[in-house]
Amino acid sequence: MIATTPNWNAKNALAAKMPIFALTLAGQWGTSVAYTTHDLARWGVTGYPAYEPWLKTPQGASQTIDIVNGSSSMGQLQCEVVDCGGAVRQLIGTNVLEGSTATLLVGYPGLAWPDFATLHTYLVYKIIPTDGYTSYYFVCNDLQLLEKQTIYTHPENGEELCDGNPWYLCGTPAEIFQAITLFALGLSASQIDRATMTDLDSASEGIFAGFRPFQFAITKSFEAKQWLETQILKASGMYQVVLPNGQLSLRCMHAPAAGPTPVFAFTQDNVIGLPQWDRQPICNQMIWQFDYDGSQYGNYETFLQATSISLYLQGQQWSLQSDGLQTELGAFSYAEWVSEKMFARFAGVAPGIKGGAPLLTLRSMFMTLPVWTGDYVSLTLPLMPDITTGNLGVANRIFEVVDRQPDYANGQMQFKLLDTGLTGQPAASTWGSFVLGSSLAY
Amino acid sequence: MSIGLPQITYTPSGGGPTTIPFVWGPQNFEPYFAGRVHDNLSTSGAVRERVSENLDILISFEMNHLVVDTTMPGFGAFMAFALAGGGFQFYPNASLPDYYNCVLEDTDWHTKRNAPKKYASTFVFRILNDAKCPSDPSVVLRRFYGVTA
Repeated sequence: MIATTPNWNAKNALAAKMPIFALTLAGQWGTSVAYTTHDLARWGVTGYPAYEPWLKTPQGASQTIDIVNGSSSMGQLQCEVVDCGGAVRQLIGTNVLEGSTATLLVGYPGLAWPDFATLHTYLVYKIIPTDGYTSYYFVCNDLQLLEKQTIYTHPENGEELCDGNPWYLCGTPAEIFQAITLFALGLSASQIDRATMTDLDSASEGIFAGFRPFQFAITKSFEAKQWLETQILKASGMYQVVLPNGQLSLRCMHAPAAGPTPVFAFTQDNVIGLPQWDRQPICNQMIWQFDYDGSQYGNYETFLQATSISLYLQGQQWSLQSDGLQTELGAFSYAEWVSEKMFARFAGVAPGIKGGAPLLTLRSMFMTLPVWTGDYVSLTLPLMPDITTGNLGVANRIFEVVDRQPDYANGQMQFKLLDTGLTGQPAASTWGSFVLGSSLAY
Repeated sequence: MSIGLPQITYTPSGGGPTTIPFVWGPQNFEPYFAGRVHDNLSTSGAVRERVSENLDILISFEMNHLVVDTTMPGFGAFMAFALAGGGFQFYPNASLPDYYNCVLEDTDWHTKRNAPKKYASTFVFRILNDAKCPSDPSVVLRRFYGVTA
């Protein structure tokens, strides 16, 4: 969820509202500037910085995650600022703004500036004039842009990565993520969500504390984002989320020990129309390869979800290779644990769910904008089919937000919600336990 | 309450402030809201969310007697400035200090012959939403009619 204040929440909950957007740019040219969609003074905003009301309402930046493959799309935000009297032209012509921090905020008339909520914190990627040269587009990317770098050198000695100068990396997925982002990419600690990563590794969560299965010996250059997604995140059932404050964070497809807590309730009073349905592909076969010796994998393991295969007579095979998974560090049990969790969600055996996990595309009111990618939300809709019973209507069904597409310009939101299969399950549920490789369930 | 005549003040590039006094009053002087809004109706139909970008105020009026050799040249120079995007101050009543920062909403200027040397034209001004902007169109009307309250 986007961090908001009670004052902001009160304004956002109103059925009639006039959102005020602000784009602030701060960076290496030594000063900052704020462009807003409204005259803040005229609309009773207090405590505001210097601003120019030249911003057009932006479309917003989307974020999509692919849980099964551990990948996240890179968000791009395009803000159009009217070139009033050539002032924007002068600014960009006399300063280097690319690489600056661009923050998009939203507030309402009568709020204090500190009550404005941060929607996106991105990096200015390029600035281009519009067709008629009457305004400029500030095109901004999220911080994953920095992960697109290729790492050539050993972060500890600055020498080229090679067989004679390997970078040894050991730890949990979150620890390795931090090593790559902080040491190899040189991001600051404030640019990653360390608190969440610490939680993921905590013993109370029981998710990764019991395993530190990765040990890499990196001897050649690699692109950080692709490497993280294929070597670490996919193999751990994790994915990246870029938070509103710009921080890179991690989420796990396995719910927290306390159970998934919906942060927002979608109901027929804030949803527009009826959600469109799709299904996540059924995944009931997983093939793992690990114990990489620098040229080939020394071990493989296959997990089959027998119940799913016997039910659906089909399925999708997931192939996972990680150069860092090592047998002596628990790769077999780690692979089994991840496979079990994946099967529980994506093999079509979650309680009551028949077929692949429901994937809903849902349009909703502007007031739902605090909902963020990776959030757990509940859905109550009397007109939606309940596939667990065959009846009409669902109540408090728990979903995970896997796609967030704002349309601030038209005052609407769109989300993709993936059924967790956790509805009605006790806290710390593990989506049921199955003996892998057999058809027995216990 | 006394109806007055409006006035336009603008500053052309390279020149000083220029005033266009209205010799005759405008006809069909109508300020109005032109809201940019987006409506969301909930599935239940119990909630209608209106997201407003802005409630802009526009002013439309007609000038039926622009005289070719007296008032027309002033309006012509003003239109050349305003059609190019220049901002100006519009006083709904020149006897009052109230003015609004405006731009021209029209993208062209047609005049229609009424009588020898007399031509008519319509105008649409957009009041910029700054600190001088009135709260609603009735304020513009009240000033137009000389009401200061």
